[in-house]
Amino acid sequence: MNNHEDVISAFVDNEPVSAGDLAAALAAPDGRDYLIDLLVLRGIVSDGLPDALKPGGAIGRVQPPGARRSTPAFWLPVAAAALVAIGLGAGFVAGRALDRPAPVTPSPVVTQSPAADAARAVAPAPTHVIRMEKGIDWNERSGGN
Amino acid sequence: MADAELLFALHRQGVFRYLCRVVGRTDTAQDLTQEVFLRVTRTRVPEADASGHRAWVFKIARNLVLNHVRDGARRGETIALLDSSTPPTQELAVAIKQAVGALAEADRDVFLLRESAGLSYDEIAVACDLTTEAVRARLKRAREQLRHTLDGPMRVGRQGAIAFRRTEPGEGS
Repeated sequence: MNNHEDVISAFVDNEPVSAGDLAAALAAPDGRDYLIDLLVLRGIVSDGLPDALKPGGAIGRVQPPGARRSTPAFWLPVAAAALVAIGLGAGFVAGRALDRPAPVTPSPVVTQSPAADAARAVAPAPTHVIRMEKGIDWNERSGGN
Repeated sequence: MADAELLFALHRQGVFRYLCRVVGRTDTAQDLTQEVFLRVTRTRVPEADASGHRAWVFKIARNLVLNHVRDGARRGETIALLDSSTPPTQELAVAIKQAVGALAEADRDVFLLRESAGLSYDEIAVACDLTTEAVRARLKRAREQLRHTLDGPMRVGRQGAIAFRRTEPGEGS
């Protein structure tokens, strides 16, 4: 293990290092090269960040905990529409129930045969006859009346 | 004792950066970040100092994203890392994506928790169930591999200006 590299890494990463170790590491050419490489690498990785990762980027859309649950604006119209639909459905069912006709009780069925109808068509025989005579029971005049 | 909203304010940026680096899609990373902090609210925050809380939050994030990646792999999904919309850095972004993606899973996690989230070695050790020495070793191995894989950009970088960048927890928030 190269001690210079460990000391330089720890220094670059904000970890505590001994001042003497750091001085020794920086005194060595490989330690200085390693310091430069770490800083270059950090710069490359940071510069390759997409815009969303930079301050004011897409992180702004993330809501604090609980914020999602306190947005009733979306549910209000949905709940109102559901209530209206339930009311309309209940009214329709109630209306159907009230308009239903009373149950029909069956009446006795009377059947008539065609022969009976034919017999009823013949006039019954007269029990007595009243004779009306002209001049006695009625007179004829000209012009009616 | 820290509450969930405080942890959200302190760590959402780092969690999002870490998740975005692993899954490669900002929309997925947003959803996962939301899920991380929903889990934080549903779980009793452990008694610990700020460093312990940070490690705990990132442990939740790491477990969540590992499950997400494994589920995606089972479904045959491909991880489209870094959906950058900035053409000048697109080539570099793809090279970084490939280089980081080629790291061993545990090495990659240690590297990203350090570089993207700014966790200390002890915090990474808690988040990844490793010893601090194992974190040092994996971080060193990951950096060594990346130095070789990103040799072209490294050579260009050595010729230009460099700045001493410290990755602080919650930077950029």
